[in-house]
Amino acid sequence: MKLLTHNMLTSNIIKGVSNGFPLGIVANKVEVKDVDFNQSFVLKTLSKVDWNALRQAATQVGHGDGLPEELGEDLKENDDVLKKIHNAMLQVEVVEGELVCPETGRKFPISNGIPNMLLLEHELQ
Amino acid sequence: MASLDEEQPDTQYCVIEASVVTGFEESARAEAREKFGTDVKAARGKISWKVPINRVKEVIKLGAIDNARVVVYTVPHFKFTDQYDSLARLQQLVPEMDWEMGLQVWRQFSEFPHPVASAPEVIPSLEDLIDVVISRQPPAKDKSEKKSRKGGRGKKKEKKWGKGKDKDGGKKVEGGDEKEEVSAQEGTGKGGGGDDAKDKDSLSAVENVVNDIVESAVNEKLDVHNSCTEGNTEGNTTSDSGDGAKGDASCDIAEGNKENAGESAGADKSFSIPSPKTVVIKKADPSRVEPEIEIKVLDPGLSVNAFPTDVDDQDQRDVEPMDIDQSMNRSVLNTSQASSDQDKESKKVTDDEKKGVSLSIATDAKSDEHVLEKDKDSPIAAACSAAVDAACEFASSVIEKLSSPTHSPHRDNNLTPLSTSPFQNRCSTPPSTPVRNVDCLVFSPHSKTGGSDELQGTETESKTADQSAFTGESSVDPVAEAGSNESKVLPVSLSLTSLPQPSAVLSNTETESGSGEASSDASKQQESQETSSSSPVKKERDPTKPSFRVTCNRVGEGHPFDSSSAAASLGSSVITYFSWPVDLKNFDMEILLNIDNEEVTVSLALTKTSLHNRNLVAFGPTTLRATICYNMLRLCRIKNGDFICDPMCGTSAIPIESAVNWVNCYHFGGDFHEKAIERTITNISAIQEKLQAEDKGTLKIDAVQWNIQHFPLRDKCVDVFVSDLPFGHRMGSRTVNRTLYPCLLSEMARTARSGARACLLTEDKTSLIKAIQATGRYWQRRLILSINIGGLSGFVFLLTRTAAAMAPAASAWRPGTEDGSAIAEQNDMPAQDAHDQVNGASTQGEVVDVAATEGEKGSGASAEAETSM
Repeated sequence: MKLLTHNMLTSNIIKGVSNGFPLGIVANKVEVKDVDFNQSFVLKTLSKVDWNALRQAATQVGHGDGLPEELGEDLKENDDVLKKIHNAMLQVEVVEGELVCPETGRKFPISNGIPNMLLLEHELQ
Repeated sequence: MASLDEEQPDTQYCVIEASVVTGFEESARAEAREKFGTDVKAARGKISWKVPINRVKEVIKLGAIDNARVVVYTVPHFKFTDQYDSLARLQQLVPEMDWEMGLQVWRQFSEFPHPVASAPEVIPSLEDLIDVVISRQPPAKDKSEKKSRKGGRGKKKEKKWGKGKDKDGGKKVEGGDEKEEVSAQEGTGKGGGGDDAKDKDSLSAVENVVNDIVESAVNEKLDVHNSCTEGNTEGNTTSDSGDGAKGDASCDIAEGNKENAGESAGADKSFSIPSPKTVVIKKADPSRVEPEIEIKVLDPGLSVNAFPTDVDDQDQRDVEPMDIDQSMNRSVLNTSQASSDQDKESKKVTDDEKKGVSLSIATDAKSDEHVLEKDKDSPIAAACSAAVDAACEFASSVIEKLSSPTHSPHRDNNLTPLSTSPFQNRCSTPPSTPVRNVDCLVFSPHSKTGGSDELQGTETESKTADQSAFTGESSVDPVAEAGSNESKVLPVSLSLTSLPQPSAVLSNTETESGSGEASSDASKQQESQETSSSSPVKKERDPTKPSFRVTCNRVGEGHPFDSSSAAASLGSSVITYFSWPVDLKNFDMEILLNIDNEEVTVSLALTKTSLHNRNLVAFGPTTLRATICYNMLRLCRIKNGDFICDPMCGTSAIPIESAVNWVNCYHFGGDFHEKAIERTITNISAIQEKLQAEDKGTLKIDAVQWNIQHFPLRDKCVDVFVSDLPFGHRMGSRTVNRTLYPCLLSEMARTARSGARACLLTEDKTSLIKAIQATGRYWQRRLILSINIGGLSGFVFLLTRTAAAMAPAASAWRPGTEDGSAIAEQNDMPAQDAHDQVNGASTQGEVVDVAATEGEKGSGASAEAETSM
């Protein structure tokens, strides 16, 4: 699971959970896969993500160093930062671990890089 | 073809034709036009355009095409006449084809190590190229035969074959019915005169007949069968056999065989039947009980119609066979007591004639001998075989199926050759008979000739009852002895098998003809070895020459031939011209003959296997072809930076195809099924590891296990949905689809950004249309394409998301935090689309219809802005 995917996942499918975002990450195994850097893709993608959640997730998996707290206007000229963001968004993958619902603490296991977001019948809304 | 404005006089061009999934021609055409900048012609299932030879390698990089080929010859109006003329003219096209260009292009895709001349050293004359090959066996038969053999008996299959035979045989017979009939009668008369009960006489008669009627023999055989069948139903009139009877007869054969199996033993019972019939039978029985029995079997098969209508009871069944025999006998018998034998002989004669003609070898004597022996043992079977080549083949196949269980060895032998034979029945068939003789020998030592093997086997089996009466010629099959019914069936099958076997041999020798499914290798090898003299091509293979096969695809009506005959004929001509060896399986070159109504196109295949299996290693039961995935993705007009989601990804065929082709997008998918997730893991890791091994950047692809009905995605985070929905056949059910599709569209509407596109494939059009109507506020239907997915008619729906915000009740929609932050970021990012903000505004306020419509307008404008970016 890449952190960009994590940025779109929510646990609000659980009964009683209103927001369910962002999910906490417990990472047991993390891999960094090389992905070609493309500045315009990173810039455009940043417009679509929840930056705080992404930064928080990157920190939780140990790749949050150097990520800015706020995204400033000067981002376009700062390739180093963009590459770090690129790394956090696309290259870091949680292979084994679990996602944690911020409201109920319900855990979603991640195995082979794929989070299991299936719920049991009684957990559904 | 397409003319290029920028065409360079120095550059060499070739015409490339590429097959496309039906329904996506326009999409593929647009892609080819984009990449090659040329005019591209699209027709049903294919596109064609001009490509500079030095760029031809780029063709197979197109994502939308399945197979590519280079055209070496095309004629828009071939003007098909009759079968022989059409095929002969087809064969004369070979020197006209642009081999130089074709081979030059083909070399770029082939690993064939030796140079290939574009013309032979000695160019054969056009007349030499003509060697029309007519395949009388429909290719489907082989498979069905195999299945039937394996599975035992199958009336349905038999019936189908019979129908097929009827078609094939009908055409052939139509021209010469009268003549055939006449000849058959003559033959019968002659045979009857000499046959009384002795093989020698019958043999001589057969030979005479053969001499008299060489060409018409096949037709005669057919007629004889027909006449026999009719005779059974109607009476003695052999001449009455009509075209309709032929068709019925072929159909009936299968049933008749079954009936025969049950009834064959009932010769005695048959006596009780009408007096004339009984009389004939009695005569036959004392002299040759077995042959009569065989005849009966054949007759019932031929006169299936008579059987069902006349008798349902076992007794009646017995009678029926008798009737058939009688009719047969009567027609033949008129001249002599052993008329039945004569008929059989005559039929055999016709077979022999056929063989002799085709063989055109000294083997005639052998064949005659075989014939004689056959005549003695199973004249009926021979007659049947002779009656209709096509019909015989059909019948034989059926018979083989029926009989195969009893005579495993014969069957096996027969089966393998049959499998090979379907496509190519050449004149050279005679060698096959000798080959088979060997097989036959096992069963019946008496039979000297291979061609008689089948016949003998049948005869022997039939004889089991009358072994004593007949000479020990047929060693007698133990099986036949066991049951008279079985024995009857077996003889028929044997006789039938004899016909198909030769064809099989022929096919082996002429594998070029190409409908390549025919091949049990072992049988081919054996046959080819045996027939080596007749088929030097296969044995003495020159490694410096490319082996080839011809594949014919025929579309439309009004063609006087079938595709296997066309392929065989063209292959024969190519062999004569180039002396290239034929190899249906491990070929270096595949020559494609496409006949689309009046248009004939010959091309060389550039792709050995279809390109649609790329990138995947693990396939599920409904994995979509990569080419369909690609075309669906193309429809969505994907832009850089899009988030592309397949909510029901299965094996992730779509996300992988899109990740490979649109590298500047983010691709993810999900499925709820455990197996699908396993395959997704396998597929994604395989392609990622492959890229890593090549030191390339990995794909921006991810997968999640989720249930679409409880979709764990935040609102408005997807730009493009592309999905292959469960059709309700192999996956899911239509009942489920009725609730699943609306739920899916609703969740997609919630998670889509406004202006998002969705491309959905389903066969369950009704459910999806209803679901789209139910969610009409959010999804606008842009396009419906009808495509062909492995024979199923699929429908591709292209939808666009309106700007209407989801009502809070429709989903767990959460206002607030994300929207606020998203908007803040949007302001930072110049690339952000204006419509997002429009959306945000509309979502934040209470959702009202008016607001929604306004939003739609806004989204339309913004969408245009996006596309222009």
